[in-house]
Amino acid sequence: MSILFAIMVVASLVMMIITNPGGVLSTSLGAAASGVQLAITLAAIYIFWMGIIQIATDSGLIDALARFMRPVIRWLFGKQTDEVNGLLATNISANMIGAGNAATPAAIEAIEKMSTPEQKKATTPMIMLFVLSATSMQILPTTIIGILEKHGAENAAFVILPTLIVSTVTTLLGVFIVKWMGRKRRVKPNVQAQPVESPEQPEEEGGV
Amino acid sequence: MSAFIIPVFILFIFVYGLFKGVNTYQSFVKGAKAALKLTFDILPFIATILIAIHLFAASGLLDALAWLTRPVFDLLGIPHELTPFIILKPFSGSGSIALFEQIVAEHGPDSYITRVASVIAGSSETVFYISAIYFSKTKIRNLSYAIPVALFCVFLAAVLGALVVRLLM
Repeated sequence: MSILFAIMVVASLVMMIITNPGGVLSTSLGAAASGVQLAITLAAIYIFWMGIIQIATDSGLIDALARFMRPVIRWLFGKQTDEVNGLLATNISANMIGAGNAATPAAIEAIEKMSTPEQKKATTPMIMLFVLSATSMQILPTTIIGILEKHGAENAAFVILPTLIVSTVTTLLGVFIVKWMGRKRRVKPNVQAQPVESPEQPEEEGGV
Repeated sequence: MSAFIIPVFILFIFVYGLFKGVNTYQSFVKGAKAALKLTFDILPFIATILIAIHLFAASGLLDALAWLTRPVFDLLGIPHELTPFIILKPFSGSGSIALFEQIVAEHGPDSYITRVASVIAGSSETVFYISAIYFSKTKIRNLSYAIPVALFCVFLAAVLGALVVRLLM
């Protein structure tokens, strides 16, 4: 992201200095202002949904969901500690109801707990969590529906079904690709040479 | 019919909470507080990324990129009005939400284009953004095949979204 940010800003500035130097400041400040406005819109959406989620957490509904999801988590991520399992369940369920930003802290903590301090390369369970988040399997795309309703949509809920279909397909595909790649890693002979850690532990170097 | 799903879902959470003896008022306020803190934390990211993206758009580079990739999108049946949105999506959730709001305002909240954009927004995340923050507390910098797989799935979501919405509308 940092490199991309630098490239985008520098390329845009070079371009605009040639074509429209007067627009640089007004564009930047206008963008910052719309960022603040967007944050206010998001705050409204998050306040409502995170309030609801908190009720679901306090009533034990989220815990029940985590218990319900335990076999799936086991299948996706293999054996993990209880703490990591709880974080994974929180992340997946928050993603499912479209609260991606509420899911992020749980993912950061889960990845931290799954790694060793000196580790340089992502393991298969970490990549699984990343790809799952990227394909975001959603039951309720709450942010999107909130925006559609704000703009006076007659049938904002229409988008629920196609979103569910598409994210199911892409999520399953992502999961199978990661599982397949993980297995390919596992059968590499130099990995089996040291049977110490979980087979997901990748070899330290070796290109691609 | 499907318009009832969300209100019924919310009602269920409230009724279940009351049934379990939860102080729904206190809980809701607690969640709302966390929401405000979250918004406060992501505001600098939103503003920074929006500045880069607005500059990118104002300089004409986004249009140039969209124009360059348009044949590919046409070929896959994705409305070309969505090209900038799809290109932007992996970089910035907040930036693409801003573009999404523009699409809704321009094409109407019940239009085909808005609905495809909704499906894309709802079925994919900001790959580059989360790749930066998910691993932020570790020393892991080698993500192996994670990003190519994620980008492939996200792009597939756009292709499928255009198709599925057309079939359902």
